[in-house]
Amino acid sequence: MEKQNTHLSISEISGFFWQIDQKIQQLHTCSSEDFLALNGAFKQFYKQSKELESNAKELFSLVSGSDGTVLFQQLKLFYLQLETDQISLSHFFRDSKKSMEGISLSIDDSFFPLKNLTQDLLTLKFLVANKQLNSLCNDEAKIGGLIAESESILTAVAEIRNICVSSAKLIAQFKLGYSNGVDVFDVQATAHLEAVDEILEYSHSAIVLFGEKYEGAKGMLASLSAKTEQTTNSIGDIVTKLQYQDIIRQKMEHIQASHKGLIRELDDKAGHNDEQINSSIFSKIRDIAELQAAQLIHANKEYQSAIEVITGNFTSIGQNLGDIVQLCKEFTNGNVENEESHFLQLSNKLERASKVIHQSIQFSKKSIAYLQGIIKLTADFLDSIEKLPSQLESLNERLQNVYCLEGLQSNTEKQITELLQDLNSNRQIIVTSQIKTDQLLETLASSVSNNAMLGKENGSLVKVADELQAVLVKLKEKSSKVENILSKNLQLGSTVKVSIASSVEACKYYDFFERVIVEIIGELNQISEMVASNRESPSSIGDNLKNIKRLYTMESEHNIHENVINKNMGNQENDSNTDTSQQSNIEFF
Amino acid sequence: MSKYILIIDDSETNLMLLEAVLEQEGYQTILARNVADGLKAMQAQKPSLILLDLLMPKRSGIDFLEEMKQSNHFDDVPVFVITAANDEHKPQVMKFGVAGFFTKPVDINALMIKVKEILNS
Repeated sequence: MEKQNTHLSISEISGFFWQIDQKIQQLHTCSSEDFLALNGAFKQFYKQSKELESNAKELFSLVSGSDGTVLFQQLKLFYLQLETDQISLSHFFRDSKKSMEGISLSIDDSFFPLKNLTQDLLTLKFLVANKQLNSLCNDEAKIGGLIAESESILTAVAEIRNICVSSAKLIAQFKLGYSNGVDVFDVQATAHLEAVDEILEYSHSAIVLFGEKYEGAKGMLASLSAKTEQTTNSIGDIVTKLQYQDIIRQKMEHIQASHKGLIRELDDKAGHNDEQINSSIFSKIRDIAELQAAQLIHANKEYQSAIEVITGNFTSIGQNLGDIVQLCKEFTNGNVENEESHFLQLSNKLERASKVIHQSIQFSKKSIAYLQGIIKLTADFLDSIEKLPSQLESLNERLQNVYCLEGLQSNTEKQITELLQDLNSNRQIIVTSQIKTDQLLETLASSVSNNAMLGKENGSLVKVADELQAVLVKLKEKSSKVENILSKNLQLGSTVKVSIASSVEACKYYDFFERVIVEIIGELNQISEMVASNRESPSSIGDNLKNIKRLYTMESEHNIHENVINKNMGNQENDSNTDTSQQSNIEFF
Repeated sequence: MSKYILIIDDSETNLMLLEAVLEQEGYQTILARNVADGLKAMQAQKPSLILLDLLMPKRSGIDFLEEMKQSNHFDDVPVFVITAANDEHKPQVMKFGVAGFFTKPVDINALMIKVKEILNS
């Protein structure tokens, strides 16, 4: 190739370098704008991604963390306690009903004997009065004693009869109280047990759901951890690559500094026509041009790689954050038809459970009150007839003693004897009923006493209700947090997605940077070709570039510098055997 | 109370980067774009740590270290040098007793580990 240096004057070469310097200045501007925009975007994504990750972690930890474990245990304990209470209540209602029915039947057994006794005692009263009248015709000496004895018997008869009448009334009261309440008690107890059954089902499904979520959260935390690690790595890469703006800036400043030195030198020598000086400077220009081209190629590679890595990692972060949002959404609500979170569904179900338990407490209180009423009526009846058998026994003995009811008897005496047999028979029935009722009452009273605590302040049901309330408060708190976090994450996720897309699109100088670098290298190539014929001896190449090396501060610049020198030294050695025209075809790409 | 870190760097991108990462970790940051601003900021509030760039226009990081050394008041403030320069400045810098020397591009995770270590020690 024909030597071309003769086509360019030193001033023209100086002008070329000025143009190149202007272009490098443009590169500074575009690199600064691109990187500052990316940096601003990064700052925002970094904050948002950390917030999103932290939210997601908090979300999963709400269930799988120690607080969640405690809540899960509380829920299970509540279920077990409610199940136990359900069985107790069921037995209590069943046994109470059975006892009441038994008492009712047993009291019924006394009703007719008491009625009979009332009638018999009235008859007895007349017979005793009749006997008293008859005795007036007998021995006067005995009249006083008999009358007194008869009066006393009549008083006893009247007393016993009153007891029979009032006891019969108590039976009627019992029957009224029993029949008024027993159906309601039965129906309500059944309804109540069914409601508790439903709550048990709710609670069981809540435990299953919580269990699934509890296990799910652990898995989600592992996925989140993997996503977080990916994001952290992407962030690390972005941070590393963003620093290249400063590195590239410094490299271009070093190139500019070397150009400025060269321009000064060219300007100094512009007026000289000394062939040797010109030859020396042309040789230097060629070496510098080649070196700077190599430095710029490297800088461009770093720039392109940095932008690609940054935008690629932005996209990757966006994808990861989108995945995290999806994880959160799936975790809180797998059912797309229902927008409520699982936590809200759970707390709503348990809220209903809480109402049923409070109704249960009220019902238990009413049931206990009703049963205590029955117990009182039964006890009043038993108190009433407590002395009846002994009084009848005593009456029997007295009648036997007073009226000598053995041997030959008058008609009245016969009637009294028959009546006494009837009284005795009824007394036996009452005694049997009394014993049976007493036993049943004891059973019922004991059962009521044992279960009376159910609805009281420190009773089991109240405790269960309190436990449930505590679970509910926590669940609601969690539900509210979950809703809040989810809403934040959804918002963050969509914001980040849009921001990342626009940030990637905003890298407007990506192509521009490369185009300008290509132009600069083209111009450096051109300069190099034009001054190719003036290459000095190999020993001077290192000297030509020595001063430039001092401008470099970075290892990579030094390496490129050495490579270019070594390459040229090699080329110059080859030059001795080849046509020098081949040198002008050196390409830097 | 959060730790306060002074960052001195002429590169806007580096300042923004370090600010973003450090603040996310809960540290307070003050940014200075040159040595003079860095010295002023340090006088106004004593930092817990200084992240210092070496190669800056007008006055370099080494100038900052020299001024800092002159005042005994800041002897206990650790300095991490972060520079794009090769290791040739390292021996000179280490004479000032800097706590760390990082070459750009810095591995941010490694830097954060060192920052936490030094601020927790």
